Formats: sequence, structure tokens, C-alpha cells
Amino acid sequence: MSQTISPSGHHAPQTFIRKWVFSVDHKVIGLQYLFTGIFFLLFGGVLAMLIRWQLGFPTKAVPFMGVLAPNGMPDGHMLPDYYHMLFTMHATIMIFFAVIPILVGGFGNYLVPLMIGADDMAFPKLNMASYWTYFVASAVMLFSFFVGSGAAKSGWFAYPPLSAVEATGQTYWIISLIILGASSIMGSINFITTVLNLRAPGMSLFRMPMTVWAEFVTSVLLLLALPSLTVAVACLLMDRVAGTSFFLPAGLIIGGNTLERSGGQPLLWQHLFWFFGHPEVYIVIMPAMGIVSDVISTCARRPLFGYRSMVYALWGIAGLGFIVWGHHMFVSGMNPTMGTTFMMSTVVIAVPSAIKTFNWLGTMWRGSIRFDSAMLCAAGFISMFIIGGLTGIFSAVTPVDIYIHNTYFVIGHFHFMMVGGALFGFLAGIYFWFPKMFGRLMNEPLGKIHVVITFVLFNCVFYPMFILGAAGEPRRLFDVSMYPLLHELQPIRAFMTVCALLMFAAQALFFFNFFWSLFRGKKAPSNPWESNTLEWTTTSPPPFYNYEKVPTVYRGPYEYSHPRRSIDWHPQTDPANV
Amino acid sequence: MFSKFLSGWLLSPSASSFGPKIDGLYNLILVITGIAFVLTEAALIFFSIRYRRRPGKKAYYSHGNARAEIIWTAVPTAILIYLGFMSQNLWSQLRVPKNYPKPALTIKVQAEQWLWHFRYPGPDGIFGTEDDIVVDNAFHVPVGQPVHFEISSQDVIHGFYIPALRIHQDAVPGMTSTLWVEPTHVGAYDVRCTQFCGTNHYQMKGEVTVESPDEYKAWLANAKASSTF
Repeated sequence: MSQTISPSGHHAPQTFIRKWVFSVDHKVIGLQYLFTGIFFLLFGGVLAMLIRWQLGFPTKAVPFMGVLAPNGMPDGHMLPDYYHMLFTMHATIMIFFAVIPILVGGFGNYLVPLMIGADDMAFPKLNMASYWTYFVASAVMLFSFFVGSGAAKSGWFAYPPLSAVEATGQTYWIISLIILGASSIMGSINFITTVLNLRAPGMSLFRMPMTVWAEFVTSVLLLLALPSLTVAVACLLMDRVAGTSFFLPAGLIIGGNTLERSGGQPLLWQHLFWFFGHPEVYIVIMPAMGIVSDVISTCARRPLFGYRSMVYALWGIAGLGFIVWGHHMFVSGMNPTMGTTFMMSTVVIAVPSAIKTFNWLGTMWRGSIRFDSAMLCAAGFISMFIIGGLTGIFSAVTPVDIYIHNTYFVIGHFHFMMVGGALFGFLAGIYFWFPKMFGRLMNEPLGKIHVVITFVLFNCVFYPMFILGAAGEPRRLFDVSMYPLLHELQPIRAFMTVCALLMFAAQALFFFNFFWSLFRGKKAPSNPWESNTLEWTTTSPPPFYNYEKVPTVYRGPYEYSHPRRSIDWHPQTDPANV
Repeated sequence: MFSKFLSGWLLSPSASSFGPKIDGLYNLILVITGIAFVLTEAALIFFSIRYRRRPGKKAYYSHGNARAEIIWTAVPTAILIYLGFMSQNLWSQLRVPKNYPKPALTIKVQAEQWLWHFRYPGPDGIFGTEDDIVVDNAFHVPVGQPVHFEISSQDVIHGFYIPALRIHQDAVPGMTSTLWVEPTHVGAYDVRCTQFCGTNHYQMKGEVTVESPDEYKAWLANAKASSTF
């Protein structure tokens, strides 16, 4: 890098601290999000393994956990409340500290300015503040593991009255999420402003790649949905520490003690929480949808099928996403007529998801598909997104939901979205943009082996959940031996646990590939996938200011295989018509 | 055991009057989504093989097909909205209190960490009088008669779920939710708590015995003698 001044006159940072710690460069902040998120992904994964161990082999001790957590797992035997803490923190960590930071903070920060031809985000310092606020929130959340009573254990959904009377870990949980809410608002405002104001000449909205669209729509969702959570947890905090009664009705007798509260309503929490919580699901999946769209079009060498309807589908999902929250509450005691309304909005939200699926398949149709690791991830994403989407219809239809509500069926359904969708989207993104981020290529054969193994084992872990759900097995049971009919199915649970442990272990292939390639991988050219979008026109990795001169955009991002061109791609910056 | 991986999608028989209707809807969705699953996954696999990269072959250049897009938007929309309207009728029969059949018996269900209390009105048919009968965890109902439940909780939220009878309702403190069921098959069925309610959530199990009206009467008389009220 000979040049250290960007076209707009910013100087590249010189000191280590300014360059790698308190950086204002969107690429460095993106990587900070990415690596912090990956740390939490692994941490959340470890929690999941402990959960699976208890479910698969409830009587077998885990000796080293007896040393690490002598209170929760004396001699390695898990206690019920330790299990409850595990599933609460697994969900909290994965959703708030792993998946959103990776897909929005990580990929969003790294890619959005590059893909629209900007030299940074609109507010670089706000961007830095956003990351460090997230860092503080995650530190508070981690600290909660070390308070006397342990971390929160009333579920990530934290329904009061239980969450209002739980021990101190819950208070740290609330404080952490309030801090995280601030980080998220800073981030989403930054993304929205960047996309609206910093696009390069010629980069009209409908020339933006799907990844940018997805991050943009996701930011709008984050901005509108997260305040509802912040408000809810702030009220919950008051109920816990200040004697208010937002969510506590009169006459509660908990553990033999009468609570002197009156006037609150537990369902109010559920409305506030799910008003955030359902858009949240789309916040998680939409960036993955964007990534996968770009990967499929590039690897299939075909223009994205129905680009505009893909964009409208994103907006459709975003809009409808705000009026479906009640489907989490069909059996909560909410007015049944509301149930009907939410059922109708929920079945309708399946339509834009179906459109996206058909358009991905349409993009593969008559393509010339190169199955790189990223494309394998994308194909896996589609196949699991189909399962996750179709099983959602069961839960959406109110009479059927009566039977499967809060059973393993629901866990299966959303893990096909969260792991099959978001995790595979993350992997696709890494395999695809690793060369751009680090200037080196990942090992393709190793990548393919990793993707195939992960795909097979993933299905072995989560598919049986539908079977357990159809048998009426409630979620969140520490031990099913109370129920002989469910206990009979123990071999299935053991099988799932073994597959889960193998799947977790198989990620070593990914991390080995990642870190080995980081230092020893083959040097990457600027455009290894022969892709059209802007980020591939600059060097790998891009310089501090991204582009030597501001790029001019002449066409949409998916002009592949034009019949009158000798090569099967046509960069967005190429002024020549054909 | 692993033969269940396919057959496990079929629900075990229900034991209530509306059970077959819920199961019918479930099976209908299973068939519709099953077809959609096979078609889309087959297309994915077929395209992956048929259109894999081969030297000298160029991909087809097009940005989409309006007719195809209209079809695959309209067809799922029509099917899904049809499903929604179909379900609406059943849902309102099951859930809207003014549509409930006249009850032969009303039982008040009170949840507590971590047990179920079931209160019967006793011979005078009125709650809150001295002849009320209260039993814990295990309760009985007569077969073939509509039963109403009035469900609440004294501490945290619990989930009142009897999978065999296809009924499910959260027990929320501060409010009373109602449900009805008409059991059609005698037998003993699990009551499973489905809303996480604290340390012993996993042990919060009840049991409902559906029996002939005569057996039920005998049980009630016996329960009255030992009622905790």
C-alpha cells in the first residue's frame, strides 16, 4: 500500500491502536464484529453441546464440567437450573452476540461500503462506537456467568412473572441487552444513511447487489423492532428492582410468598417481546438471503432470476414481519379473534419466502454452476430453508399449532432457519469473501468436505426434532423420564446428541482452513470468482480508502453470460455496452 | 426406533371429539408441504446435476420470466389463504367462548410451581362452596360429555397441554382462560407443562383419566371423601 490518503483526504491510521483497536475503518470494524461474533458462535455452540449431552445422556457425568462449574454440575452431573441457564444463554448468545453481529455487523460493515463504491460508512466514528458498545454489552453478558446465582435462567424470551423474580443473573441480562440495543440503533442508522447517501455515481437503488439490499432492509427492521425490546426489558428491570408492576398482576403467591404488586399484565410483556422477537427472526435470516443470492448468481453464471421481485420480497417480508408476532401467542390466552388475524398474516408471509426460493431455483436453472464451497453452502441453504419454511406452515395454522406449540417441532422449525439458514449463509459468505477480506484463497477441497459433512450432520441433529414434536414432547424439559411415552424415544435423542457432537467437531475443519489460509493460503487475485460487483474491482484486501478513484457504475450487478460477450461476466464498472 | 423417522410424522390417535378435525388439517398440511418439499428439493438436485459447469457450455441469459413468477406467487398465495380460511372455522369452534357447547361439567385448573390443582364444583354445581372438590395432578372426566376448563395460575406462567385430547392453553396469573373438550376415548393421558416455569418444570406432570360416567361418579364420591378442601 503506497498511498495512505483516501480520495476524500482521510489519512490511513498509523498506530496499532488506531488501526486495529479503535479503528474507524469499516473493514476493520467489520472484521472486529466478525471475530467477536465467531468467538460467541463457538461459545454458544459449547452451551448447545452441554444441552445436547443432558438430553442424550442424562445420567452420564461430564467430569471436566464438575471442575469448571462445581455448583451447576457437581461431579459433572447437571442440575436442572444449570440446564435452564444453558438453554437461556445459548439462545441469548447465539441471537444477540453471534449471528446478528456476524451477519449485520461483520458482513454488513465489511461489504456495504465496498459494494456501493463508498470509501467508508457515513459515520465512521459512530460505527466504532457501535462496535465498542456491543463489546461492552457482551462483557456484561459474560460477567453474568460469574455472579453468585449464575447467568439468567428464565429463557431468552424471559416471560414474567418468572423472569421478574429470578436471581440476579437476570438483571445483568437486562442491562446487557439495553446496552446492546444502543449499539444496534447506532449501527442501523449508519447502514441506512450509508446506503441512501454514499452510493457511487450510477449506482441506483436497483443496481445494488442483493447483499446490500438485505443489509439495508435488515437495518430498517433493527431500527424499528429493537426499541420495543429495550422498552420491555427496561420495564422488566423496574419490576425487578424498583417495585413497579408492569407485568405483575395482583395476588401472586410465589414460593409461598405473597407479592405486594397489582395492575400488571404478563401478556403485555409477550406482546412487546414478540413485536421485537419476530422481526428479529427475519433480521437473522435476511442478510443470509442476500449473501446466498449473490453467491448463487455468481457461481451459476446467470443473472439473478427476478431481481426486482427479490427486492420486493425482502420488503414484503419486512412489512409483514411486523404484523405476525401474535403467532407466538396463539395459546397464551390472547383474544382468539386476534389469533385468526395473526394466522392470516403469518400464512401470507410464507409467500415472499416462497418467491425467493423459486427465484433461487430459477437462477440455477440453465446455469453453468460451479460448485465452489460457497455455492455448496448456498445450495444447502436453499434445501434447509425449504424445510424450515414449510414446517412453519404447521405452526402458523392455529388449530394445528394447538398440538405442536412449544414442542420440539418448533425447535426443529426454527433451527432449520437459524442454523440451516443463518449459519450456512455465514459460511457461504466466508468462503465467498475470504479472498477479498484477507487477500488469500481458502482451501477449496477442504471447504467442500466441511460443507458436506456439516450439512449431513445438521440434518441428523435437527430433523428428528420434528418426530419428537409430533410425539408431543414439550420444549425445555431437563429430563423426560417423568413421561414414559417420551422416554421411549431416548435412542433418537442419543443419536441426535452424537451427531451434534460430531457436527461441532467437524467445524475444526473450517477453523483449520480459515486460519491456515489466513497465513498460508494462495495469494488471491482481485476477482477470483469472476464476479461483477464493485468490491472485486479493488485489490484483495482493499486499501484503507477502498478505491483508487470513485467507481462509476454502468449496469446492474448480475450481468452474467450475455450472449454477445466472449467472457461470461460483465463488471458493473465496465463502460463498454457489450 | 429409527423407522419412526418417516412414520413419526403421523400423529398418534386423538381421544377428543375435535381431535380428528385437527389431525385432518395437520394431515392436509403434511400432504401439501410434502408435495412442495419433493418438487422443490427435486428441482434443486436436478438443476445441480443437469446444469453443473461443463467446458464450452454457457449459461442461458435472462433476467426472469414474468409468467412463471406470477404463477409461483399466485399458487402458494391461493393455497395458503385457503388453508387460513379453512382453519378459521375450526379455530373459532375451539377457542371462541360463545361457540363452546353447553358443558356437562366445569373444572377450574389452578397451576402452581410445580403442580396442578383441579377444582370440581361438587354436588351443588357452584364453585366456592363447601362441597367443592379439589384434587392435585391426577383428575378424572367422564367420556362423551363436554367439559369446560377455567385455567389460571397463582405464580408464574404454566402450559396446560394434553396432547392426546389436542388441547393446549397457557395458565397465566391474573387472568382466566377457558377451554372445552369432549373426550371420546377412555384411557389415562399425560398432562404436560409446556411453559417453562422454573426449577422443577420438567416434573410438572399431571394425568387425566377419561372413564365411563359411572366410574367417574364413583371416583368423584371417593375424591370428595379425601378432598384437600
